[in-house]
Order: sequence, then C-alpha cells, then structure tokens
Amino acid sequence: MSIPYAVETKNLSKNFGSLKAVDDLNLTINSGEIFGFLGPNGAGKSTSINMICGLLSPTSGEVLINGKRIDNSHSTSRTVGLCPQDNIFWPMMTCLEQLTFMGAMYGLPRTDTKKSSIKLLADMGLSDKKNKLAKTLSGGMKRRLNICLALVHDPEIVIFDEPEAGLDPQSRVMVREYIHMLTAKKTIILTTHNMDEAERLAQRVAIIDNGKLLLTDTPENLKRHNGEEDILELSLPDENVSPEKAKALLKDMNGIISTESNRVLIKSKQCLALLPEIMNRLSVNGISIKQVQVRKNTLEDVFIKLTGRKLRE
Amino acid sequence: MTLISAPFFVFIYPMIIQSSGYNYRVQVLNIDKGAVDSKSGVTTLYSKSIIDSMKNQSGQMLVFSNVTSKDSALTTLKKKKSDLLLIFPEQFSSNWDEKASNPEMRIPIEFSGDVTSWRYLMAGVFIQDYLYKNYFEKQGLKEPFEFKETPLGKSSELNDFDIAVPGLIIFAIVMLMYTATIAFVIDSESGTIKRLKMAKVSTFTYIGGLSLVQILIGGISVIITYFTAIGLGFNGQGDFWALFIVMLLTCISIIAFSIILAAFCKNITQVVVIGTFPLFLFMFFSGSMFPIQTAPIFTIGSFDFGANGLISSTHAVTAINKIMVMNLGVKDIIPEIISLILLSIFYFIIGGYLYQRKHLRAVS
Repeated sequence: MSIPYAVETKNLSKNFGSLKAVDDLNLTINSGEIFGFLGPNGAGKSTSINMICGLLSPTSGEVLINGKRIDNSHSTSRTVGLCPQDNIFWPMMTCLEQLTFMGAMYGLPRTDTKKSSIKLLADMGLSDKKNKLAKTLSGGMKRRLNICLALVHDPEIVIFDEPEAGLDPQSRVMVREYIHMLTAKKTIILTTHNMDEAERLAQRVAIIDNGKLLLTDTPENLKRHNGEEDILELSLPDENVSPEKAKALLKDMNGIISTESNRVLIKSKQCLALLPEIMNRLSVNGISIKQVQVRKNTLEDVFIKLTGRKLRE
Repeated sequence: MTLISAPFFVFIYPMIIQSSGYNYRVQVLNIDKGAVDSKSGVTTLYSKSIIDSMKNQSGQMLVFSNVTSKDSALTTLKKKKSDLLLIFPEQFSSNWDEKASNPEMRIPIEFSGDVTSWRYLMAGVFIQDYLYKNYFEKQGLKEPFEFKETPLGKSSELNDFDIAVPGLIIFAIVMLMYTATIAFVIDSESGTIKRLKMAKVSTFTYIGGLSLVQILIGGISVIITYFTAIGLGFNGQGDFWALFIVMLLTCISIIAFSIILAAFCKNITQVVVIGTFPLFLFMFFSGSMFPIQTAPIFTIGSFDFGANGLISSTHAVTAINKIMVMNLGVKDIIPEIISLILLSIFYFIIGGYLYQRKHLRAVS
C-alpha cells in the first residue's frame, strides 16, 4: 500500500464572485518536507492555505490530509497547525494560559498540555514570560507566541504564513532554526513573497501567481530552469544616462542583455570574462558606471521569467 | 442604518401597540340592597340607574363589566385585566334616600385598583367627573358622594422611587445586551475566532462557556442593583426569591438574545449600531419604560400573549409588577416564568444556529 501524501490538493479552486483566487491547484506535499508557496501579494497563497486548513470551503476540488478528505472532527483539526501572518492571541491572557486554553479547545488533557506548553515556551525563549500577559510582549516575542499556539496540539502538519515577516534578525534566525528542527517530525508548509526566505527554508517551492500554480520543484532546479548563467548588474548614475543606450552598445556581446530602471543586466556564463570589454565599451562612449555586481540566478529571476513581473510589483 | 432606523420604529410601533383609542376597563360590583319605600314596600335600586346611565353616557371611554365577587374582581385587577373596581356598597340606596332628609350626608362609593397605574387614575377621574356633573351640577346635590379608595396590593405604599426601581432593574438587565454581545463578538474582531475554528470547537462549548460567564456576571449585577436600591431607600415589596427568579431568567434571556445579535456583527462598532434596534425594542416595547397596551395574539387560560410577547422583558415587567405592586408570589407568575424560560430556549437555539453558520464554520 502506498504511503499517502501529507497534503494533496486535487483541482482545488476558489472563486470570490468573478475573481478566481485559486485556479485548479494540483499539488502534493510529502511527509516531513518543508514546502514553500512563493508568489506576490494577491497570488492566492493565503487562500490556498486557508482551504488546506479547513477555514475556507473550496468552490471546487478537494484537499486530502494523509489521504483523507478534511472534515469537522477533532482528529482532523489536530493534524494541522496554523501560524498565521498576523499575531493572533488573547491579549489579556498570559502566555501559558493561552496555550493551555488552546490545548483544551483541541480536546487535550490539561496536565499534558501544561507540560508541553511550558516546554514549547522554553524552546521559543519565552520561559520567563510564561506568566506575563500577552499584550505586554514585544513584537518578536508575540510572533514566537504565535508559533507556540500553532504547535500546542503537536500537529503533524504545520503551516507558516510569512514566518519571518516583521521579525528582527535575531528572531528570524531563531524561527528559521526552529522550523528546520521541526522537520524531523513534521511536515512544514510556508508561504512567502520573499525569495530569500523561500530559498533558505524550503526544500521544494511552488511558484504561484494569479491563483495558478506555475512551477513546483526544488529551489536549485527552479533556478536551473531559468538557466545556469550568472548575472552581471551594472548600475548607471541617475543623471542623463539612458540604460537603453548602454544596452545598444553591448547588444553583440555573448549573453542576454536586459534593462531594469537604471540598471543593465547581462546574463551569461562568462560574466567575469566579459567585464573588461563591457567597461571599455561603455567608457569609450562616455557612459560611467556607478556600481558593478555579479550574482547567481535567484528565484525572483525565475518568477520574472515566468510572469514578466517582479515578486514585489 | 441611519436612514432606516426612524422609519423602522414608526413601522414597529403600530405592530405592537394597540392603538384603538384609549378606553378603561371598569368592573362594577353592585351589592346595593336597595331602598325600601316604607309606604309602598317597593325596593328601589338607585345604584342600578346610575350604572346604566354611566354605561350609556361614557361612550367608548369606559368599558363596564359586572362582577359578583369582590375576590375574583380583585384577582382580575391584579392580573391587569381590569383597571378599576367600582363598588356600590350595601347601604347605597338607603343612604341615597337618607340624603334627601340629610343634605350634609355623603354617600360612600368605593374604588379599588393599582394607585400607581395611570389607567386606574384615568378611569377614576372619568367616573368621578361623570358623577360630579350628573349628580352635583345637574341636580344641585351638595357633595353627594364620598369616594373611598382601597389601593390594590401594596400600591399605596410605594413612592416614586419605589415605582421606578422595577423598571430600572429591567432596564439595567436589558443593557446587558450590549456587553454580552461584545463578549461574543470580540473573538471575531480580534481574529482569535480563527484559532477556535481551527480547533473545531463546538458551538455548544463556545456559546455555552461564554453564556455561563455572562449569566454569572448578570446575576451578580442584578443582586448588586437590587441591594443598591434597598440601600437608597427602596421599599422592597414582595417575595425576594420570586423577584430574583424573574431577574435571573430575564438576564438569561437577554444573554441568549445577545447571541442572535452577535451572529450579525463582526466588530464592536457593528454591535453598537445594529444593537440599537433590538435594544430599543426591549426597552420601549416591553413596558419597562412606560406602560403599553397590546392586543393579544392568543390566550392560554387567562394569560394573554401579545405582539410584544416575543420580547422577554415584557414578561419580566409583568411579573415584577405582580410581585412588587400586587404582592403576589411565585405561583402567581408561573405563566411569566414559563414564557421567560421558553423564550430563552428559543433565543439560544436560534442564536446558536446563526452564530455557528456566521462565525464558527468554514467560510464558503
């Protein structure tokens, strides 16, 4: 008998009036995987997540958790935990009270919940805040409490909606490390519009835009899909220099040349070898360069290739 | 909301309040033995001619009914089925004859009713006015009648504050509607309802838990309100436990109704705006602020169920008046208690169903 996928969606769609927020989504997520949804705002990531959690009814299609359709039972509810993008908690309850309350709502025994809650708070660095009211916590601590609330019932599948959003660098590292630690026992789904976050955390990424799933693969394979070239970025000074003029001067060079605001981008496997010739041509024609940068292909480049737009547009 | 609120209340008013013109229900107990003419031996009942004359001349204003028993008449008064009991005593006709030879004599007529009720007062004024015009002005009789008043229950022992307190208590309980609704809405507003939906918390658990807390708060509040009134000089009439049962059941019904209101609100602002409509209905159409008269839709025994019978505070007002003014006990307010219980159950069922559909299940 084959092992069912942790999460599987079949022809999943959601319409809000005439708007097709999610359009025929078909994906599979393996158990123990960190799976990322990458897409701009309004792409349909949160809508997809809400349907997987059971918070939103699909217009058509279905969601299977461990091979079973989601229903209204406690057993299904305990399988999935959601860490929403907004910090959702009760301001006038202490951290420990929040967790024990939610444990009770999930039907868990009180004494067990209390022990596991204390451990969770310790893992998130909130031990000394366990008896403090949630409203007194700093922003980063509230985010960590948010994560604790998603995990209090020890779900098999944990969904993080923009896990690093709004966190200071130290908290981001803590959250990232914690998510990696969770994969030993859990399936992680995260949504983000930050390509760095997706590359750092996810083992597989689904690129989604306008409700449609464009591509699903590991970050490395996705970048290879965009080609294995490096990218040379030339930033021009603002005043009176047209990138198109620079592009025209370089058009016969061995690479793909494009412009973006006041930058010229050259995609080539020999970026560094081409650099002296490029600098010479531009200099001879009176075009100065403000900054030169060589970088690898990113998921944003993949997104731009697929959609013609940047992730943040 | 702003546009429709005023038309709404104008629309609702005639639906609930009987506007057939004012008339006052007078029970007439005639125990007059008549005056026997010593020469002819004929017995004359002067009371009957006065009664017949009053009936003919009062038009629609006074509605008379004859009664034969004072006890049953008083019971009818206590149940608010009548406004005034007019009693012609045994010696009425003989006193009338005697007055011919003794002009200074005043013939007793007895009134009985709830002296705190304006309907009693109006009925009494109309009868006195009729008698004064017809037997003083027209016939020139010098102060023909002595009006004896027998207040119903404890009504004469109440001052303005005593009369106001029952309505104030009901008013305070009705105001719980806002705070209770907010308690049910705050999870939706803050987003924590999402966590509860994820946990698939049952409607019964969620609604029941919040309701119990609100009922406890409401129960303590009404006790504090009652004893505050006592401390300020309220002359607390009637059976305290009957009063407490009514107040507690009213509190439960208001909290149950709050669930219905919460089903339609997503935040506190909506509670304040939308809640004005039912709050106004509960306050002004239940009789807690001023007495109202409604046409009964159906009657079970002697219990009339009017258009405002679906408003729980209506039954609370009736019950509290019976307890505090008429000095009645629990057994006399059984219909009101049953009404409050049934309405509470009705509100809970409707509210639970609506709240679950609107807030606790997956959004479709």
